[in-house]
Amino acid sequence: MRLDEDTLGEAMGRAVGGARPSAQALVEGAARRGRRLRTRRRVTTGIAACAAAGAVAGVSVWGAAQQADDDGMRTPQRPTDVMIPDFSKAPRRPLPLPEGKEPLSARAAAQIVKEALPKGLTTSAHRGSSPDPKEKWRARYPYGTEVQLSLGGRYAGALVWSDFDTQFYLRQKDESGPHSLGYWYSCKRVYEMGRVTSCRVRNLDDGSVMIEHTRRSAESAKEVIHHAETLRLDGTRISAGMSYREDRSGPPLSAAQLRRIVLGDRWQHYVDPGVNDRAKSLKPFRQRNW
Amino acid sequence: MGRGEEHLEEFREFAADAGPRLFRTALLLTGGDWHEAEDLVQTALGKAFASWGRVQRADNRDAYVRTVLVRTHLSLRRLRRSTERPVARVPEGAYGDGDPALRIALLDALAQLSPKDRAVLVLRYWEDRSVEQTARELGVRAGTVRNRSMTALGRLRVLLGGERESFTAY
Repeated sequence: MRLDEDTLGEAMGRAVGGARPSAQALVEGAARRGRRLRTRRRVTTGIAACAAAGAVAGVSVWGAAQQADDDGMRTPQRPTDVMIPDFSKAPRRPLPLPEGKEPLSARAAAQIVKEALPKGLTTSAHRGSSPDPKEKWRARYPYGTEVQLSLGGRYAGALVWSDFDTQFYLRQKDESGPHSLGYWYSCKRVYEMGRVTSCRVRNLDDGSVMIEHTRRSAESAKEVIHHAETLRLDGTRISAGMSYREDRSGPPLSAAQLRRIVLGDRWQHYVDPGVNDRAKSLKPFRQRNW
Repeated sequence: MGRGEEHLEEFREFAADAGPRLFRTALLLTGGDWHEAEDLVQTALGKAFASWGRVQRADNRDAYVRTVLVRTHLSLRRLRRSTERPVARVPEGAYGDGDPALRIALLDALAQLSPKDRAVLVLRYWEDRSVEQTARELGVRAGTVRNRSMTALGRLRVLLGGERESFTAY
């Protein structure tokens, strides 16, 4: 039997029929966005102009901060291209699990982020996702985890998150188009997301790629999102981000601190079991399996 | 209960009912990106909430919101998977039953099609819309839908290669 007009719909049903999103999250998120959209429609041009002025001020402040704590890596504050490492000889399949090792768990990834936070910054909740270890077929695909930490204390409401993806080069579907690594690691793509106030991309000394940008949330002009991401020479992608409302607090982390999270050498696909065991003390932690 | 509260209740009921189905459509439209799909559904339903009066007057509310969903997706098609997820960075739901191997391969293949080609295939074969209905929803001519549908299906076959036999083995 061929995949044709009659069977495609059925195949789609089998592919996504089991997807169970949280209906409550969809409804609440939609109502929140709807309210904001309605409010935005009602605001006057004058208020919009004020918001724009605020955004410009925000760019200047964060831009200056990025330059100030730049760890000596200074690059122009404008979109630039970078040299993507050559992954043509990199493995197309995941490396086999070394004896006595385990894949980095989501909880251990959260622990890495927590321990990289500046002293005095507290967390109130932790969440993470990683492939379900019971589904053995997943071992045939690149590994990844993502984690999110809710901050506490004076930064309550702010979030820090991180993604870890092995063999990120396998995502590349074309050499220079919208599915290429060159496009992914370009400020062009970032600016296309909208509400971007700064972006820069560069090669680090070892040839790995670093991209950093700052945006305002689609939901609220007062919510600021900072993002730092690196693509290592082994093809591993590590990103870290934070969001906070600038009318409630300043940024919980500096640009350099966010960068330090992604440049940490503890981000490894396979780790000693002790690494995952130690992370079990991280509480409360909510785990989701992919 | 005030009128505003009544509308909110009505909206919640509608969104809770339509949300999961819209989400699955969004998942196909985004080539399997869970976060982007969630974002897309919230945006589409948010637009419906902001214009609830208009949605109520529509002959078919589901179709109205689905059109919003598809058009929002196409207008934001360059967004792709963003690593910032201001609302839900970790999936609230998960895949339950279904066919994981098929899911990975088919969604990966869909992700390699252009957003418009994906939208045509999803509307035609997942939503079971006619050529004319699909054309109306996408704001293109019926002939364009026919052509896109044919070429996109062909490209999907090529992308799936030998794996497609196992998809259609049932």
